[in-house]
Amino acid sequence: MKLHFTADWLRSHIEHDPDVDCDAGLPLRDAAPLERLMQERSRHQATAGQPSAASEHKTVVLFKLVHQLRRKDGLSIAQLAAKIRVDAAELEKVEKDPCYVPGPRTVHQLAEFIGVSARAVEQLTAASSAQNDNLTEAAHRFAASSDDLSKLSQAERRDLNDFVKVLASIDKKNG
Amino acid sequence: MKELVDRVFLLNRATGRFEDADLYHGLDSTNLAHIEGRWRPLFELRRREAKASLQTLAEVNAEDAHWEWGKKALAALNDPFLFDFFVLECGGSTQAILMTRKGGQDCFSRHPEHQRLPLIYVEFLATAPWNRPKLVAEPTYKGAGRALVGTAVSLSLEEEFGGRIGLHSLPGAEVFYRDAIGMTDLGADSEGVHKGLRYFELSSRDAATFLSVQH
Repeated sequence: MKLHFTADWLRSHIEHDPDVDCDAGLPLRDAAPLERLMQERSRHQATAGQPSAASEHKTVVLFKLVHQLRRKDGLSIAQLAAKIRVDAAELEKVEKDPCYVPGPRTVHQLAEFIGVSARAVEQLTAASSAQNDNLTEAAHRFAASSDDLSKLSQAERRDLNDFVKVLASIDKKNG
Repeated sequence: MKELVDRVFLLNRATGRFEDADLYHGLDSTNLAHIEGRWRPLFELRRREAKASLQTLAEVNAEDAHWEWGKKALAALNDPFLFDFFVLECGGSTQAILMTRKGGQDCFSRHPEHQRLPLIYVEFLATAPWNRPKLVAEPTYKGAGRALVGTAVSLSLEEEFGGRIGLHSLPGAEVFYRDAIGMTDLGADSEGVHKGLRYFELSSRDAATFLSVQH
């Protein structure tokens, strides 16, 4: 992350700021709350790759992936369906129903549109039990990165591109 | 796990000189050990002294942490990547910690200039007890709040939130956020987890001013 202030700015303000307290939010008096937070964060990361916990995240990620790709290109569901030659109703289900598992042809067409292997896209559906740690971590980061804005922000585009790169790294010969 | 973001500065009040401070993204067991082994004993000492001299804990900025920490832990469990930690280390110790949230609850603007737009919410900004003017007679370092608010604004810009940040000031810090930082005081919450605390927001316009004005 890049800081948007300079050393001179910081020095001059520190010299002129009033000599007062500046604490905000939840009081932090000992390490116990932070330890709990860190433990739960680690536990979440550790269990994310297990099939029972991961399937929900995979479907959420597939939904987000399709949604973000549409936003990136400014396409409606009908337009994207026409472009990749799949049923618009099925594409709509992919976006709106986290438990929906698209058919093999839709997976293949989506993969071709994204430029990754069908196996990679298949791993984002609830039907898949295979998802490596790298993909799981990337999927979680991607799932947490987007917001419901009408136009993709630069950060969202970067997150989308990063995630597609991870997908693209999955062996295409198995697609 | 943590990684260095940049080197910044804190003013040592005793020497009148600036000292290098490392700003990290994330925190590790060393920071937790500092809080438990160095922050906590000083807080406890001052709390005992305050009680003996009939001062309230709020008067010395040493209130109890409340039960809402449990809720935050649950929220972090559900959305671990929405939360960011930043720590400031200087003089071999952890001088301040910032925890931010970039999505979900509390991350929508209340500011009349751009209501409902997304922002970075400061879950907490905590400085070491020896840096607090209300808590100790001769506080050590000055500038942690300025550096960490600048960090939160930078994160907001990186996330394309226009520099917008929001936070609930603890009693006694309102003057810092209102007068020094230039945030808008949107009043005290009448309910919820921050009931009674004043909510401050830095609008996109004020964020630009915050970063551009120099003495």
